[in-house]
Amino acid sequence: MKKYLILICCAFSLTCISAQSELKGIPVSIAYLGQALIQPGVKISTEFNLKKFTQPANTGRSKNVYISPQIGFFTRPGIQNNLLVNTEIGIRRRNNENGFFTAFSLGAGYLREYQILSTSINLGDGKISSKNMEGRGFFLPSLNLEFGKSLNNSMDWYSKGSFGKKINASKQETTLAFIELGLRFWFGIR
Amino acid sequence: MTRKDFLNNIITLGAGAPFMATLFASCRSENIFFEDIKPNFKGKVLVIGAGAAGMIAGHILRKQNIDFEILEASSVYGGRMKKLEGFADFPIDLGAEWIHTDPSILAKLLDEPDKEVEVEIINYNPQTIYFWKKDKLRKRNFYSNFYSEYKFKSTTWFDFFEQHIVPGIQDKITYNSPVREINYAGEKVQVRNINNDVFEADRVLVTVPISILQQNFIDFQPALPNEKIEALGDVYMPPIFKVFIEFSERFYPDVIHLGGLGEFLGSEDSNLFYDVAFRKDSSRNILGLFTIGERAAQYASMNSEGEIIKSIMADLDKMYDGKATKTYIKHYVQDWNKEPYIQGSYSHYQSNFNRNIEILRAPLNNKVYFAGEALTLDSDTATVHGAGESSYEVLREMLKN
Repeated sequence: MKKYLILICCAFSLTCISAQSELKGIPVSIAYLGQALIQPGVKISTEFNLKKFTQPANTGRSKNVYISPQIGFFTRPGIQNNLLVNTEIGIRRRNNENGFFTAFSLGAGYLREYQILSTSINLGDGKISSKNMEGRGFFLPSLNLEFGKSLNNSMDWYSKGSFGKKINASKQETTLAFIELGLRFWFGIR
Repeated sequence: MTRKDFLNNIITLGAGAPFMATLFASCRSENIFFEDIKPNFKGKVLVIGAGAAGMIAGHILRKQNIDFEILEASSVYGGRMKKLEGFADFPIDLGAEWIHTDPSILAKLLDEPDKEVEVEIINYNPQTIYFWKKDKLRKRNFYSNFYSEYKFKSTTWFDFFEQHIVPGIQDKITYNSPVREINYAGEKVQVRNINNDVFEADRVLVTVPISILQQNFIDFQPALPNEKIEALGDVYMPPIFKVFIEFSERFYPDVIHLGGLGEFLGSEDSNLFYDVAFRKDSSRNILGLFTIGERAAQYASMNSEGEIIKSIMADLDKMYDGKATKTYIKHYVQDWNKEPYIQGSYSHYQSNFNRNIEILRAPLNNKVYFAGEALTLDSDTATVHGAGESSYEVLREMLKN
C-alpha cells in the first residue's frame, strides 16, 4: 500500500510542477462530500490547467485538460473515519455563453480508513470509555463526472458524481460512490 | 442501522440523507421511557415471564422497593436469550444476538448511574457481503456502507442480564410455574399455574411471548376483549432456526444473504449465513445460519437434526464447491419453535402496527398489564432493548396509582 501512496504523491507533485507553465489562474474548491449518501464529509481541491484547446471564436465554447490534486475527509459516525488524498486528470468543456460546464475525469487516490472495531461502554453512564481502532490503506481509482455553472468570473458551483473501488491486497475490494456539491473560487485570470 | 432503519431512511430521506447522518446518531439515544418513574402504588406486582421484559420489570420494581414476584414457566430465566458455551472459544448467543441500537441503551436499561462496570461491544458492520441467488454467489460489499449494528464481544445478551439484572431479582423468581389462568374479576388478581398453585397480587404484568397469548395457553377471567383478540390475530411469530457450524478453514465471507436485494429489503423473512466470530478475536471458524420464515419452516418440517444439517451443508457445498463438507468439524442447532414456552421467533405485524400495539398494551381493568418485545412502539419491536423499553413504559403507567 505504501507503494501506491508514493506513486500517487509523485504523480501529484510532478504533474503540479509541470502544470506551472500553463498556469493562468488557480482555483480552490471546497465541497460537501457524501459517500454512499449517508457518510458526510468535506473535500478541498485545486486545479492546474495542462492544455487548453482553441475553439473557433464563434462557437462560444472552450475545452481544457486539467489535473486536480485533492484532499478529503468523510465519516460514518461512530463506525469509521476516512482520509482521502486524490489526483484527478480530466477534460472540461465549457460553454462560455451560458457558463455551464461538464467535466469527465479519472482519479487515483489513497484512502486511509480508520475503522472502530470495538468499544468499551461504561454501564453507569453509557459513554464510550475506550475504542479499539484499526487503520487500513486502500488504493482508490475512480471515474468522475462533473456538471456546473460559472456564477461570475471568479466563482463556479459544481456537482460531481464519482464511482471508485477501494483496493487492498489483503482485503476484498469495495465499490464507493461519492456525491460532491461544491464551490470553486478562481484566483487570478481564468 | 437495522434493515428496517435502512429502508426507512432511504425511502423517507432520499438524496437528503447525506446531511442527516449525524442527526440519526443523535436521535438514537433519545428514549422517553427513561424518564423517572414516580410510583404512587404500594401493593404487590406479579410478573409473568422471566425473559428480557420480565427481568427488566423486576429490576425496576426492586429499585422502587415495590413488592413483586416473577413466575417463570421454564426452569431457567432468559426467555429468548440463551447462550452456548464450550462450542467455540467465546460464548455464542443462541437467541437474541445483536444490539439493534446505540449500545448506550445498556446503561439506560440498567439505570444505575453509579455503576462502574465496562462491557466491550463490537461494531458489527460486515465488510464482505455476498448474495446467493439463482445458485450464484454475487459480491455485494457496497452494502457494507449501509449496514451496521452492535454485538457483545466476549459476552452475550444472556450474560448481560445474568451479571447485571439477575443478582437483584433472583430470589423473586419462581421457576417451572407456567401460568394457566389469570382472574382479574375481583379486587385482587388471582393467578393460577399448571400445578394449581394460586398467586395473588394487586397488579399483574404479562410478558409472555405473543405466541403463548395467541394459543390461549393462559385463560383470562373475564375473557380478553374482542378488540385485543383481533389485534392478536394480526401479529405472528414465524419459525426460526439458528445453526452454528465449525469449520477447519474459513472459506466464507462476513455475511451471505440468501436471496436478492428484493428479498433483503422487501421480505419479512431473514435468511443469512454469517461469521459468528466476526471481530471476536477468535481463532475458530464458526459460521452461523440465521433463518426466519419459510426456510425455517422447511427445516422445522424435516424429520431430524441430521436432515437439517445435510440440507445446510448441501447449500454451502454448492456455494463453495464442496469445501463445507471437506472442512466440517461440528455443529449445533437451536430450534426455538420447539421451546414450549416460546414457539417461534419474534413479533411481525401484518397491519395497523401502532394501533394494534396500543390495543394489545391496553391494561385490563387497570390490573393486568402487558409488556414485551411485541409491545414496543416506534421501531424497537422485536428487540431485547425494545422488550426492556416496554417494561419501563408500562410500569410508569401501572405505578402511577
